[in-house]
Amino acid sequence: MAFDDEDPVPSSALAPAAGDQGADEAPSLEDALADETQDFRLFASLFDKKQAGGKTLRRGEKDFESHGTRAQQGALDASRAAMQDVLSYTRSHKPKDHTRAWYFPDKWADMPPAEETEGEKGAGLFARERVVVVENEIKGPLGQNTGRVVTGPGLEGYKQTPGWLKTWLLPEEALYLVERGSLDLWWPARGIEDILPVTKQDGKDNDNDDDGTSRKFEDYELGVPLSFQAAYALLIGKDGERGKVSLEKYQVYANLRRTGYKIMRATSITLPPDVSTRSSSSQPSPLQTLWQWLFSLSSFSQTNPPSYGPLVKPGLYRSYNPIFAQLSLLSRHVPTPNPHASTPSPEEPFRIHFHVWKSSTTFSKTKPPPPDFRIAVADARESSVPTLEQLTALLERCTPWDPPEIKDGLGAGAGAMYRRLKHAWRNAVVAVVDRGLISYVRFGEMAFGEERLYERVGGGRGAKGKRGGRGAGRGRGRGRGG
Amino acid sequence: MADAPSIVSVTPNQHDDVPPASVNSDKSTQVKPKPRPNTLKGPPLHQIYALPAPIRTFPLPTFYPSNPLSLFHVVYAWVSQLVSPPPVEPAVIHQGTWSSETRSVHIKNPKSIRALWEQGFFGKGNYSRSEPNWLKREQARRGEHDGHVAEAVTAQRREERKMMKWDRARKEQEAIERTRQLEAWTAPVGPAELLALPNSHLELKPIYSNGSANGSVARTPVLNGTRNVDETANEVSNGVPFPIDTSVSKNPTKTIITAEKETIAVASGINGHSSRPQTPTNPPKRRKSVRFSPKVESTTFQLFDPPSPHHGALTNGTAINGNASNGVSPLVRPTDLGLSQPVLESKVVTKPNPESELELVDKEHLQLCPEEAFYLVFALGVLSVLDPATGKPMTPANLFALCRQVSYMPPKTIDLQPDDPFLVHYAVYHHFRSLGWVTRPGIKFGVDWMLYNRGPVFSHAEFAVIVLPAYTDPWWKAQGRQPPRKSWHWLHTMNRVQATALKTLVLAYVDIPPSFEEGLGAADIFKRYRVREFIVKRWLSNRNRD
Repeated sequence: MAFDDEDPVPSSALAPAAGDQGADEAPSLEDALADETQDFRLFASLFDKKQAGGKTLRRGEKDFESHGTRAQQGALDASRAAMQDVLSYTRSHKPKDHTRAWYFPDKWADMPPAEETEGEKGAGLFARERVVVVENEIKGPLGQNTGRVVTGPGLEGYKQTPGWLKTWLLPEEALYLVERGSLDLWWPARGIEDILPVTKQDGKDNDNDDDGTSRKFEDYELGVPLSFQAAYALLIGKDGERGKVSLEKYQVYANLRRTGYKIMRATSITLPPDVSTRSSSSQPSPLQTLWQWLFSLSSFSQTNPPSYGPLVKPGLYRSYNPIFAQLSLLSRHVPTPNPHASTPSPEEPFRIHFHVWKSSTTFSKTKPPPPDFRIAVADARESSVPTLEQLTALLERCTPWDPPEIKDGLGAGAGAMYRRLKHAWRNAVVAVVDRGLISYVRFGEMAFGEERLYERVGGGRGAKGKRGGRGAGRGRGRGRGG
Repeated sequence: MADAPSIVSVTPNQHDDVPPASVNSDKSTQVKPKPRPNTLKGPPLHQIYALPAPIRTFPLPTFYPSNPLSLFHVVYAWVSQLVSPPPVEPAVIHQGTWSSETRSVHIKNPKSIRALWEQGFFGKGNYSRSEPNWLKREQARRGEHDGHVAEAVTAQRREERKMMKWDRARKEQEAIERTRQLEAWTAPVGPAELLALPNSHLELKPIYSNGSANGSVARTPVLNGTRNVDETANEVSNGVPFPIDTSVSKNPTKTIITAEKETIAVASGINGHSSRPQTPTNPPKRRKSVRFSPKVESTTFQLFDPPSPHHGALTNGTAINGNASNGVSPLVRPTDLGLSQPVLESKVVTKPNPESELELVDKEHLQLCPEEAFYLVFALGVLSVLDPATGKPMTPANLFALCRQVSYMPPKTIDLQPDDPFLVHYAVYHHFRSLGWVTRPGIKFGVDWMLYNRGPVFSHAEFAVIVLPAYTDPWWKAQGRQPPRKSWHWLHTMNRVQATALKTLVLAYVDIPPSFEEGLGAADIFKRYRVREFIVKRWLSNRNRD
């Protein structure tokens, strides 16, 4: 019957989806979507409203081989023309949209490298790391989740210093904007006080017209515009260097932003107090012990199985539950909201680096809601698959308790059980960067011990009704975990 | 490739009328009833495989408070079991023999084989993919019974899937052909088109009426093909010349060698509907031939066939007996027969007589991997393993030591460590078995264990487990022992393979305890191990955005 599962489903066979394929082929469609090439005609329609001719290609459909029909030729030509249009599109900057920023790495260098905790007011400031100041302000939706004005308690000393109340960017934000062509990064030739003079009157962004105390400088007296390469050189650095970002992290940041996510540097989370590891191992629930007592009135103490078995004592059994209860030998993992005391602290690269929100969430950058995804960035060549310690540290110390919810399925059915197990009790995404190519892998803390499958499968048809009723009540093992 | 035009334009036309009828009739006459004999003939699956372990239980009848009489039923059952108690479970202790060559335990008694397979899906038949049904298969092959074996069902499903894909490709091709014909009849305005115009309406006719004409002509040969399946071999020889002739005449550049190479495939694809006197539609603006020939079909799908040498013979044998592939559509069957008929003939002809006269003896045994065997001995107590040298049963302690020793390569007799491959893998095996999962070796998926809910006959495996050791104990830290470094590329390979097979990858880390003293019993040893599971799944950035 089920031997068919040994056949691989080649995803290539799915590419020419003719709409009538059997249901057995659907699942790896997601791969097809992931690797899909862009339809440039869709893209082109963003620029030019009157273009957007031609039907759009269906997603995932690939036309490699010409089969000589004019319809196909037309589609190919249209696609090529659209690509040509897109690539030959001339981007121009209007003078009023021109955003200039200056590289001042040492402005906030004296700030303490404070641990910032998620949910606190003004968290995610990372003042020490902010090295680029925007002269005016970033216009449009780009600025929505980018940059911060450095304010807050402990900053009184900086009041009315140059650069106060300006938007300061993190290195990855600045580099992303430069790369996108939305920001003109300059290298200052003079001090910050000359470039961003403190104005007593509340003049906003009129540095150039400002003839206050200091003399007025020409643009090129103040500094020089930086090339793209220079921006990379200044802003990309080793992990942990102040005011720089590692190349891998920047690549993940840029990739997710381009894909449409909202992404910010991660702040640590507040964790419930630790619990000692061994206490919560395997204590039989009262119901289970009652069960054992009821149905093995005679004698079995589960305490000491014979050292070489059999674990299942010969005897008369009314159901499979006591049999499987005797088989339980290894301590099973019981997920708890509290991290275990024995869990080590996370080590690089297995700690959360970015918080990511879906594109539809709207929030202000000072008060972000809990993120949708938490992402750690690892280099594919430098690091390897995490060890048990690294994985538990990442999940227990860096990600919140996120058990399967009601919507993941309460039922006793296999599908619901699979969904619960796959949702896992904690999860994190690791972005594995192999020289610029990023693969995201989701790791989840599972607990098979929470789903005692034998209560569902044990016993034949005869005891079905009885077992079903009971299974619904405590088959989940939900009462134990919390 | 060069002879493609002839095939391309003909195939769709041929199948214009024929396949829907034949496919439909297949689906209704053949596909549906096929699973049914299964349920009709034997007991249903959930009865055969009712027991999750080779231990029987004796549940008391249910007591319904609304029905006081049921209380008496319960009491009666209880008393009767008290008076004449059922045998102490496990009532049967199966016997197996340790095979040091294969590092597995062989079960030879047919009853034990069936019992261990049906009650918990232990082991694998050494001539079968998993269920030990070599005898049944062999009998079915000889036509002794119209056996329903899983392998045959699998083969049939593959056939259906092949058909489905074929059909899909055909529809696509038809659509293309339609477009092409439509386009061929745009108004001729340019000088080239005007020159290319036919001189009279008579010349136009063939192109217009091609579809119907082809269909009607093609229908008769197809019918012939279905009726005279046995003559296929002859038809092969008949069918061959046509495509070659047409292709050669059409495309002089084509070498005869390639034509010969494709001969079998081409013939097999079309011999059922062979003779094709009229030339197919020839679109005026063809730029490139389309690669849609039966050859592509056959080569593609041959790859899916299992490597078993019996496969070809099996389908053929049943086909001749009119069982399995009777309903395989005439469109596909020629491919099968055309390709494997010679094989069959050579096999059957060489030794049909001695084989059929001999009484079939079941030579298959069940093989248990060390983890399975030790679980049956140590956890359930339903197996005793004989030492092949002495013929006496081994004690569980001896078996345990033996399993640990042979888990090294070459086997180690001294200096056994707590991270023996056997100990680590058995810990995971026991962990999942004791939770009720049917755990089976996962080498075919490149992993350590596969987890089935209830068993492979009921559902596909949902989880594929990779076992990884972990050394978190301070003792190991002091020893400087590090777990193996696994590269990200390795993990992605694993994950990709599981994704194509629709499994979910689970990393099972076994936290290995510090070294323990020699005399410790297996139960106490395994109590010190801890298994942590982590799910691994690709996260797709363009699927989670909104």
